[in-house]
Amino acid sequence: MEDFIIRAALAAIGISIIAGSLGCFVIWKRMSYFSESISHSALLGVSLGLVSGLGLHFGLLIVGAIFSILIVVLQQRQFLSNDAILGIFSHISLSLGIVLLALVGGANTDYFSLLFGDILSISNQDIIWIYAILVLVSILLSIFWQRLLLLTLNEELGVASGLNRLAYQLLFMLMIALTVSVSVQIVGVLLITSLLIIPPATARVFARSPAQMVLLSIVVSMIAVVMGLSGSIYYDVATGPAIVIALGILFLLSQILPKRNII
Amino acid sequence: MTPKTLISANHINLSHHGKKVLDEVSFELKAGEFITLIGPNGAGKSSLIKILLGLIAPDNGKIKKSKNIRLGYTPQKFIANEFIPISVADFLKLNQKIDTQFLIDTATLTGIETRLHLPLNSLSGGEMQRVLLARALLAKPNVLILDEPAQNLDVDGQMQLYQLIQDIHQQQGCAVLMVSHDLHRVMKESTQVLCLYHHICCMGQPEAIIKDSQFNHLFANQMDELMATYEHHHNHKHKH
Repeated sequence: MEDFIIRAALAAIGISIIAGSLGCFVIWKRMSYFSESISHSALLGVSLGLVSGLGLHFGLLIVGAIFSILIVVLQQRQFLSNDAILGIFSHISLSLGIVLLALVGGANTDYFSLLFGDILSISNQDIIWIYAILVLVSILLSIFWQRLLLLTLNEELGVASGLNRLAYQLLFMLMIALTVSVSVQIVGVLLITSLLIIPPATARVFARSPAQMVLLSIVVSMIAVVMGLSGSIYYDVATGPAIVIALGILFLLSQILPKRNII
Repeated sequence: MTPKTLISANHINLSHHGKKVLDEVSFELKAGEFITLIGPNGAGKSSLIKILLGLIAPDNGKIKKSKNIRLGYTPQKFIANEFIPISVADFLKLNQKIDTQFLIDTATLTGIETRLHLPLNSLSGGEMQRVLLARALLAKPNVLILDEPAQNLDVDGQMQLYQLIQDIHQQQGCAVLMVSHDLHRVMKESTQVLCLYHHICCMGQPEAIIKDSQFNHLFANQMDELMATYEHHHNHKHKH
């Protein structure tokens, strides 16, 4: 097998574990639009990485973190509804990203692979990044799982038991920013959200506990990325859309199949 | 030795969109006390509770809590996130360390032992109130804050719940702060009644119900065992 295929598969599987588990919280918290906004800010991160020489991942991480914090701060002020705030951020950051990239990246910028993913762009260093973030997110999730889940289930109960709602909201958003920073290369800026929401939406039908939903979601995600990657290589089409179509097929199946608890 | 003050509210003020919701509210909850907070709808009862719990911040004023406070709280409106598949038992155990026997004992006390394996979202309103009470008790509280726990219950259900709250107060000795919108009937167990209408209108002790006088009720006798009347002694009038 070609090296780049092995790298792509390793990257895709790593990302599907991260996105599959965090995605459950995105669904539970109804924050798909938030993850959309953060992923749209990714082009800005790419250009920052280019200009500053910090590289792709640092650029993505810094911009994602700044946007997460800005959104949380604006939400606290409550002068606009959340979806309006996110809508403003989402499109301004996408447009800024495209314009800045044109200015700093020159004519050679491959917009298509940034927007829709490109497995050929995965290097060994990227794999190390993905798995470092996988370890970090897994550790954070296992430490804060109960607290995040209680706050998500009912914020009042969580705060009444002494949890700081703002701190955990920020923690969660930063984890999403981490996920976005490693997912851009595989699925592309425009399609990251589907990696976060379609696997848990598929798993929801069968899961009887939050932990089951996370595990199933990861399994669904892994199957879809492997299907999508193979399709992308075989038919020579963009990776992101191929993965999303595979996710779509699994989601459809979950809706059509008789609703039984398979675990 | 005087009982220890567990929570004190000092000169709490809160406005919402320019309207005064809470005006210079001060009171104390001491160990073993049972305070019933009454007031008409929109009087600021739930806002006061939320300030006590730290869910919202007052415009000014201070809440002091004793250091070794263990709070159990049942919210007025509880909506469990409908997208999370979780059983009653898992919900009760969430973010608290509980041994199985204690869980079963508490579930039995609150009458939900047959509901433990059901999905949380399948419960009726009355069952949910009991589950919330069970969760609050599992925190081994020395303060129990109950925001209209008897809402949405029929008379029979209300009585069972009041009986349960009375038993808990008597047996576990924790302080109770209970919100009720019933202006004239409070639980006999109450050691103090606070009447709130943005400010504290009056406070005092409840008086026993005179048998069959005002409340000629199907469950009057049983209700009398648990309930008492509260006579308001306002020295001022409101433009309601």
